[in-house]
Amino acid sequence: MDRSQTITGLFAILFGGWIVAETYTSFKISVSSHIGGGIDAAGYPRLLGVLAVSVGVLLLASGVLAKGGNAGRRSAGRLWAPALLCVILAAYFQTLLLFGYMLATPFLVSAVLLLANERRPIVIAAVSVAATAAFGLLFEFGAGLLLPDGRLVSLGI
Amino acid sequence: MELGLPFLDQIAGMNLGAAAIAVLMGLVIGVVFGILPGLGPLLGVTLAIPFTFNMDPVTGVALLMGIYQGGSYGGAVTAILLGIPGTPIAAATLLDGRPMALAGRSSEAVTVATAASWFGGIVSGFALLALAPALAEFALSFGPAEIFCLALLGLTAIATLAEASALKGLLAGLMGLMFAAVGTDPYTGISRFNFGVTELSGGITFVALLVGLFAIPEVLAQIENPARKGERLEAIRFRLRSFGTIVSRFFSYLRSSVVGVVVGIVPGIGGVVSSFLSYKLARDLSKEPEAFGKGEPDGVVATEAANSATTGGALIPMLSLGIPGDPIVAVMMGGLLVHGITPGPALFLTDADVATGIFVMFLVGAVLLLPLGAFVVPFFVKALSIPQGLLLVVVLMLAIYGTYAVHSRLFDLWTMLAFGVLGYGMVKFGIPRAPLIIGFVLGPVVEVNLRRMSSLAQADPLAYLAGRPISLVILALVLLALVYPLVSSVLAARRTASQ
Repeated sequence: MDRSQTITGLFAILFGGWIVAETYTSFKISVSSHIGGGIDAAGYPRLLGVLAVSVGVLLLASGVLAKGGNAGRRSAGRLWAPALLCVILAAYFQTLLLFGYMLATPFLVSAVLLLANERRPIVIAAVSVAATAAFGLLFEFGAGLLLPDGRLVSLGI
Repeated sequence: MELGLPFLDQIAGMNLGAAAIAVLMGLVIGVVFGILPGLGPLLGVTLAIPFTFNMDPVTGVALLMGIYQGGSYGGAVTAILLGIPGTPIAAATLLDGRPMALAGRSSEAVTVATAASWFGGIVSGFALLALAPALAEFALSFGPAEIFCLALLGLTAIATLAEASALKGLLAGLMGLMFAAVGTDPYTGISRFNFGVTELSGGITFVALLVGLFAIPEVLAQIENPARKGERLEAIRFRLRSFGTIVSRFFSYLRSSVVGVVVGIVPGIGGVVSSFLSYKLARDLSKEPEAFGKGEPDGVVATEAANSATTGGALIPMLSLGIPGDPIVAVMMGGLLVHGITPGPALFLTDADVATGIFVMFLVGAVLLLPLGAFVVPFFVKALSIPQGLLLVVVLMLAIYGTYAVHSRLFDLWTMLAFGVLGYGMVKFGIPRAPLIIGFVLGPVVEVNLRRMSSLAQADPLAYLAGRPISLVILALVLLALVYPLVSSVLAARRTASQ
């Protein structure tokens, strides 16, 4: 069995099936009108969903029937590290709301450097502060972007 | 209607100074992204997209084209000096470039690669100039059926020909079409798939999807294996004698460039195939085929001229038919759409100045690649000494704030992260990401023209299609693109069994 192919097939069936179900249950789609005949607003995503399910069935069948195993691209590295970075990014987006760019960014930069195996505290501190300042200047003055202030800063805290 | 290019008249009336600076900047950025292993021109173009929104369309596309051209070339430098292709399209350059470097001929190899990239770029620039308007003129008569079939061809070719698993490629293409359907129905204006989220009513933000799919998985993958340390390399310099191979091996340069242009025009094949195909051709036609793989400059010429020429070739179907030939061109097409410019045959009528500007800037970029490669690249190799952590910080910050810059809202960052996780999963399960991006860009074209076609065909779509021979020919090609991987895998299995 080819595990990678099988899991991808299952994913395609679930994803396509969900799309098809949505086209029947979603109120806004089901009331859509035909303009000039032909495929309506629900028909097109439904067609895509059916095609995805069909591809999924083929993937699943070929995965189950495959000789030899394939479990996807096996990782030689630290799988926890990308997962941790995703959590850190999610936390960063939340803290941006509260603390703003200038306070939240040095922590993100430090975390990325640590995850990239940088262990020298002075380098981490220096790069975090310098990168925050440099990108802040680039985005604010170079690209004219208003960086998030954070609610605490807006409240004067 | 005569399309042609009122070329010289228009150039005279255009102010292309800013665009020329943008193409130069793009080349510099592209070369750096090409040199650094794991980055490449696709990531460079992706990260640069948000910065083009405040530019005029020609300047914005000039920046992106510069990155594309520079990135395609930069990968060769790393392939030669480190033995690691900076980009996948430089993989074939390893075969002879690396043995040359190991024999102490690094400067010669880099100079030949520079000359070949320059030559290939110029040939493909002229091919773009000659073929794109002609193809667009032919395509002006296309109706919804032909446009739908063409979009289908672009999508299926990329999904099935470019990667190992055709089914996974098709699934990615379908996912792209589905993500493009989020927001508002283009026909009736009815909201769909927004799940009550106001931010989704205008659809998924293109940059968030793009950056999520291509930049975030790269950062996650490098965090997973933080192996690369800064590299220090021997100095290289431009050798005039090696540059002279343009004259002594002219036909080799020309043949490889033509291969690159032709392969580039066909959607879904791209630079990797063009460089290996050109390499094989050069070896088969050589009087000393045994020298290939041992440091033969003709091998470097063949691969670099071909992959450089592929860039112009890939732009031809995008500009003239609205069908992107590879993911980088799809990203550029997205950049043009953001500016309200729709690539396709009508571009040459409605925005002829933009089309002319793109042609001129492509040629300017191709020409500037030579002085850049000759005098600046020897310093750029120092980019390889940048520690990985710092590089990841730069990529991540550009990804986050490039995405944030589009609408200045945090929702797009969450979208980017979600697509980042999806992209990382796709990499892990061997699902190609390029068809997804092309499906997303072509989504509205596919949907609108399919529904128009179904309205016109009413109850009898087969009879409708039977009266449109061009559509039938394109559909036959779609079928071929679908069947070819199946047949080739069956043949390969039989060959293996017989061995």
